[in-house]
Amino acid sequence: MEFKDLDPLLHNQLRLAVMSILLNRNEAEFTYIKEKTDATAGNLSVQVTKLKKAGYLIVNKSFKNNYPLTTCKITKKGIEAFEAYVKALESYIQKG
Amino acid sequence: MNQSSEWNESQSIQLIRSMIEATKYQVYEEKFLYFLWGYGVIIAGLSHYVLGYIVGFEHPYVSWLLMPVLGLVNFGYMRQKHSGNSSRSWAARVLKGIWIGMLFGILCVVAGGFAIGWHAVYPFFMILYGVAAFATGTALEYKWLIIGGFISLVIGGVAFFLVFQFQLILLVAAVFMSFVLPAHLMQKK
Repeated sequence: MEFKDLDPLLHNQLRLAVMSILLNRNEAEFTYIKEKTDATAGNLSVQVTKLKKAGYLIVNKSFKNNYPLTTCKITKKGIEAFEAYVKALESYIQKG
Repeated sequence: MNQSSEWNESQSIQLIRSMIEATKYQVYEEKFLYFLWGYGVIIAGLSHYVLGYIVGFEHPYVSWLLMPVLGLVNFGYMRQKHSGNSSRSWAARVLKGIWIGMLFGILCVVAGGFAIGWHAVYPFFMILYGVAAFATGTALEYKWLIIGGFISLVIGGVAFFLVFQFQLILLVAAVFMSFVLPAHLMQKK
């Protein structure tokens, strides 16, 4: 088995954490992801924007009880990228 | 959580595992509902028995009017619980399907009770409780729901051979085993 290239977008602690959460829950509020990852709002926002630009997730902004509500939802492309990343990781772990 | 300069493959695997673990659905999240329906059915069932076979009341089944009230409490609880968080795990969606399916199954059995008599359909209530508890326990790997659900299924099978008076007692036993006991033993992992 050869070493496969790791998706640089996912090979990052916070971005990978966000994608792991969304893979498990499909859709989650920004505040929920922030709480689970223990990240700062600013850093999380930057990383979410990168994932959004890559088409790995969709960000939806709305209002709930007059308060802004931001939710993130994983896309089909995001799921495929995550699965490919895990497969690539397996090649490293098995070689190691 | 911040970006790390030294980030290797095994740390990635560990992070994925920890995030999935931290966000997974846990059985104790619905503990309140198990108590609500478990004790609700036990109170209604025992009241039916006492009113019908001890007091001699003409309409002992009025005790089941408690069920629509519990339905409203359940609806209000779920609405409040999910109003602040739209995050739902895959397991939570599967369980939602199982329990909504069971609800419609119970409504069909209630319709059957009016059509062919309660004695004929009561065992199906126990079987439905058992299937839902067994499936939930298996999905969440919670052994007390698996055991309780299985016992409830066995009780449902036995109930076919008994008269209505004893079916009432078995219904209470089935709900205790499949709802109340597992809920008392639920703990946050």
